[in-house]
Amino acid sequence: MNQLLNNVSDTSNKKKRFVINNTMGVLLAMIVFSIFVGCSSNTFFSVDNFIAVSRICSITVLVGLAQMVVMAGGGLNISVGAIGGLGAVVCGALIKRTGIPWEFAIILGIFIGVFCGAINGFIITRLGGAAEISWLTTLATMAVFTGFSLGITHAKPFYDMPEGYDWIGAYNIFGVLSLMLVIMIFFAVIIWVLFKYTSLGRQVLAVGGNQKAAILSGINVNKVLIFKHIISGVLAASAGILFSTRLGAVNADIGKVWMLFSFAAPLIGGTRMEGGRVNVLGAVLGGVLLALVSNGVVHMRINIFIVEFMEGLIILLAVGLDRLRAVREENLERLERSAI
Amino acid sequence: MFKTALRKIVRNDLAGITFALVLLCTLLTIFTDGFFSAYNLDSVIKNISIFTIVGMSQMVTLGVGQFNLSVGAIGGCAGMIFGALIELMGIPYVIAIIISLTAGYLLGYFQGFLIVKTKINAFIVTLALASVYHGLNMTATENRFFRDIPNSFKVIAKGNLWGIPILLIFSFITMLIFWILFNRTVTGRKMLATGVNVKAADYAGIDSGSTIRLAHGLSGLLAGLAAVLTISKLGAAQTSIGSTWLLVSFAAPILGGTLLSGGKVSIVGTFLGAALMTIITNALVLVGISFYWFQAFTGGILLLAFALNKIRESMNTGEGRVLIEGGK
Repeated sequence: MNQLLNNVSDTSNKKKRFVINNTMGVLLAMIVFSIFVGCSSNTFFSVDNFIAVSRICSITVLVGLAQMVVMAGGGLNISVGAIGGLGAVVCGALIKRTGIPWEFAIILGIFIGVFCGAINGFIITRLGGAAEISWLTTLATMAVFTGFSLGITHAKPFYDMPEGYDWIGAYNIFGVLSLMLVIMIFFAVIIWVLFKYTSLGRQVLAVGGNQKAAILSGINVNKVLIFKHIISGVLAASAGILFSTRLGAVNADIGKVWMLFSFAAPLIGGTRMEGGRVNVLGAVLGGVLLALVSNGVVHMRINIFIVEFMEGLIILLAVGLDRLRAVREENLERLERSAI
Repeated sequence: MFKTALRKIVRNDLAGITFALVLLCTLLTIFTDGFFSAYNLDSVIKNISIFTIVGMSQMVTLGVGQFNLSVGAIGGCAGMIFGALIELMGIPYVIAIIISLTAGYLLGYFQGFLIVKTKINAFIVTLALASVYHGLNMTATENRFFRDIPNSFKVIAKGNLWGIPILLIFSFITMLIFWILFNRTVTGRKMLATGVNVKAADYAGIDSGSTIRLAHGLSGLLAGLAAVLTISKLGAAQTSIGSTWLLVSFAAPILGGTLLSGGKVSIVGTFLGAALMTIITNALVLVGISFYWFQAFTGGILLLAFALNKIRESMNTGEGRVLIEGGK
């Protein structure tokens, strides 16, 4: 009996070690990659490049978190890029065409994220709410949202944005700490608190872990589903607007290439694709790693299309590792059961 | 009374979509000058022929209860292989077609292999492989064009046989082959059985792994075929072939009655679905709606298709009828 208990505590220790390993693994990969790039380029370790990376990573992390929130509840959101683009486009159109103050325009742009997320969530609940339905629906709404971005802009960019708007993307606190990075960290902390301490966040995880059990324990699954899509929409729209402040212009292309890294960042960081387990710190680090890679390949003058190739491999690797872990846990459980 | 009639129309997949098609064509013929012109019809029919094959490429994987998001990426790879074989190596186009279709089959088979072997969700595997394939394609070809396509090959898209466009004949032959596969062969029935319920199929002695691999392989092969036909229409091989296929590939089969949950495919339905998608796009052009809004319409139609699918699936399970059904 004693031995059995030892066994059980042993496996829980192992599980803990795995979670730590995941974050540590990403950190290790970041360090190794940085050293590797730093050795072959003398501009990589500079203040300017630090600021550049921190700006890229604030976008990759926000987009990754937008995907992670939906993944946590056992779904996927393909339309993160399209929502980001539409948020930025609406914001830009309001500023340039109606002339309302840019602060209001940003708030309304983020509200577009709420609206798009609510539409996604509502349609998915109507169509049955399964994980497959969630990505198929968001595939279709992605086309709708992108279509609206194109229809509003006619594929022409809005430029000459107000000074305050551009300031957000350009300002560095003490000359080193990009304001974008601070905004990103602010959002990440909110998401961390959401999943750690609020009942709605826990409910999202419960639905992702076992939907039937969640229903039986009285969770309103549809409400949770719409809620997580709204959060995801807000994060995506914020990322889009933030990106446009950095760009100094708004165009309908914003968000077009976000889909891959939106999956890669949380998956690298140890978020479970089927839902039920998130790792906010991991997703943040995953986003930073992706930013480092996309910055590093520029320093090493590598063909940009190899990045696309590598991103695909990274996703496969991350999901493959996760799958391996799941198989191991299953085997351990089976061992425990056979011991009893 | 009205409700039962409506149920019947939705239930009978082909009647509903045929009705929508006829109505749309009649309206377009009456209210626009351009629709019934020989030039417009010719271009519409060519697009329908290619989109039918793109839709069938997705339909085969839907049949085994899975998805293939790399339809466009595989098409792009096969197309560029075809162009490179002809322009750089001077291989006759018939052999080049065979090689590039084989390449499409292998690329698809590989993703089926990964899905079966690792048991990872088909969605994420095909999404990741789509970027792997596209990235490889762009890196290897440096995003160039292959324009040196022989005229005898371009005839496939330009020519008519007994007054019927050769492209349309191509897609009819493909449809016939796949109709036979799903309705008259053991392999096809095994694929559909796997689509209904993998576990049940396994217990019934079906090697579900090999049927899934085969379905992905055939999906890749059809994507390659669609790419080759697109090249004969464009007169050049370029990497952007396939980049716009994803939405259509889902909309065409699902509008036509193929179930998202697997186990039921409709080949004629896919053809009609592709026709509906093409004619709606054509109608938008003729009515004079700005090109920039097209994508919003496509997405809206896709949502509509998913809603239809939901109704059909609930009818299927509600009345406990046999789920395996081939194309009509």
